[in-house]
Amino acid sequence: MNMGNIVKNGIVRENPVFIQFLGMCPVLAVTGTATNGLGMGLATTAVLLGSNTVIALMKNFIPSKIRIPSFIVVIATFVTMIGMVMNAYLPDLFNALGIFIPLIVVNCLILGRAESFASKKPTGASMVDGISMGLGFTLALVVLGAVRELIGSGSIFGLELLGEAYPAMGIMVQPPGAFLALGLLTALFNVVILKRIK
Amino acid sequence: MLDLSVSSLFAILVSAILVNNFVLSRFLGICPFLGVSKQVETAFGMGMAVTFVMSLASIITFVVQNYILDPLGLQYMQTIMFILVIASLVQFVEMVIQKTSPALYQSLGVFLPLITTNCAVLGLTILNIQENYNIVETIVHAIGAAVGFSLAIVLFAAIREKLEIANVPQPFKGFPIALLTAGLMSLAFLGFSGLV
Amino acid sequence: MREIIKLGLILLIITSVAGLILGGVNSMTADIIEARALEDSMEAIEAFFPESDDAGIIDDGDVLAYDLVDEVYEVLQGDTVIGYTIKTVPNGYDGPIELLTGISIEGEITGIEILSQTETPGLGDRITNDEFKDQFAGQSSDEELEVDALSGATVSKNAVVNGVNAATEVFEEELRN
Repeated sequence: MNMGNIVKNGIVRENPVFIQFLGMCPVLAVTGTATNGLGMGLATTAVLLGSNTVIALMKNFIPSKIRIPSFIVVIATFVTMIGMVMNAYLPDLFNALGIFIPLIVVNCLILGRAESFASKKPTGASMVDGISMGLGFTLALVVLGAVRELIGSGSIFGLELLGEAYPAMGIMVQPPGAFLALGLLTALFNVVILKRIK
Repeated sequence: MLDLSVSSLFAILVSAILVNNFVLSRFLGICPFLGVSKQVETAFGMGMAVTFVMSLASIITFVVQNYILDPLGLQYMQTIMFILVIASLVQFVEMVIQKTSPALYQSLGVFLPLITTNCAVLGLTILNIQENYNIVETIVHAIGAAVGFSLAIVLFAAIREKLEIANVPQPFKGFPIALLTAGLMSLAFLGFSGLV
Repeated sequence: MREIIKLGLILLIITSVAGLILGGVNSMTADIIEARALEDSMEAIEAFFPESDDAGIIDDGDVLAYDLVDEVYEVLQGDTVIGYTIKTVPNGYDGPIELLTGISIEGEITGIEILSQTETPGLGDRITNDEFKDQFAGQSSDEELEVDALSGATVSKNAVVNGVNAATEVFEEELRN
């Protein structure tokens, strides 16, 4: 399989968020700021890369009947590891993401890639797939985080862009804003990008 | 010591159902919320299946945390243990229901495998530990979370049934309009904040 | 039956390997996490009491039995106790807030610091702004706190006030002499 295709699939054509609607919980929950979105995206990418690699390496040793529990253990191990490292070196981000770090385990995107890609394809391709899907996920989180942060608090990545005079629409950084922003962005994605691909 | 005052239990219950609704304000369980909400009947089935698993999972993880992980100092195994408990519980419940009540299996069976990756269940069990709930509070919190989840998904399904026949602009068809609807529901639930 | 045992064993082996790896990573990161938490607290204590030389955790069951109270530090200048710093963990809008309250031996709040919080960005997280935190310094520990409202963040503000109140309560009832 062509590596370029895998990359393109992960980031655009099968974008985990805008096309496949996978892993919606963290997508909606942590995108109050672009920084949190980026942190969550990269943490998920690291887990995806790790789990895809290990599962591709182990696929011949795991009996198919206990495939899913084994995958879950591998994924949970990487999630816990990333959580510990973040707690040690990026404590602010760790606190901001809170419960959604352990919940990376049940992000359907990761188990989905393990089941549909890593358990069938060679290790190299699985690694590329993990990184691409992870980056596609990160891209969506950062875009959503940036839009919500800009409208909701007048800044992006914590940089004040719109100044004091801008009446920040706080609702956008609150829960309803997550649904509204993602709904509008998905519609926009449908209009702009899908048309071009077709 | 067990704190069993009715008012604090009631606060936990109301908070989990309305103020911090698992789906609409904590964003837990979004996948089934968006995926299994096209018809009120299936949404209700999913709600019942989740209620069942949530209550059992909360009790078992409470025991695992307090009598296995904490005494052994293995808190870092929490995520792995909890997800394994939930996965085996789901499998077990599926087997039991299939053997004892084919009718119930007909209605709930299809949802059960989906529940393992429902982050509302794992999220609930982790929150129980984080909030330091005792066993009674844990059960009340589980019931509140499950009722909150069922309430949100059934209401949402009822709206989506009507949306099916509405004339929606092409780019908004499917997920975008569903998300916007969920946003308006979440806005309505925001009105409960400050209640507890 | 045999197959089930075999499958169970394989899963057990995978989980054990995972547990071993995590145990290793945990022992590497746990010290860093603990040291950093202590360092954060010490930095805040230094800001509350610029003249202090040292501070130590008090391990007193009576004091720690109070609601919300997590840790109590005794702040020293030479050998004299000049104040206390109390870590409380009230519940905010979205999860627990960890905060430190510095109280001088005379009963004056010398400052508060938020160690960790997960409040709503742009609303509840304004409790970490200096304008908000600075209001507490100078108030007396035996009078009711006067704190300006934070629009759209009442729950978060109240949580911090609860935390500071819990700290002053312990101080008044157990530590003040």
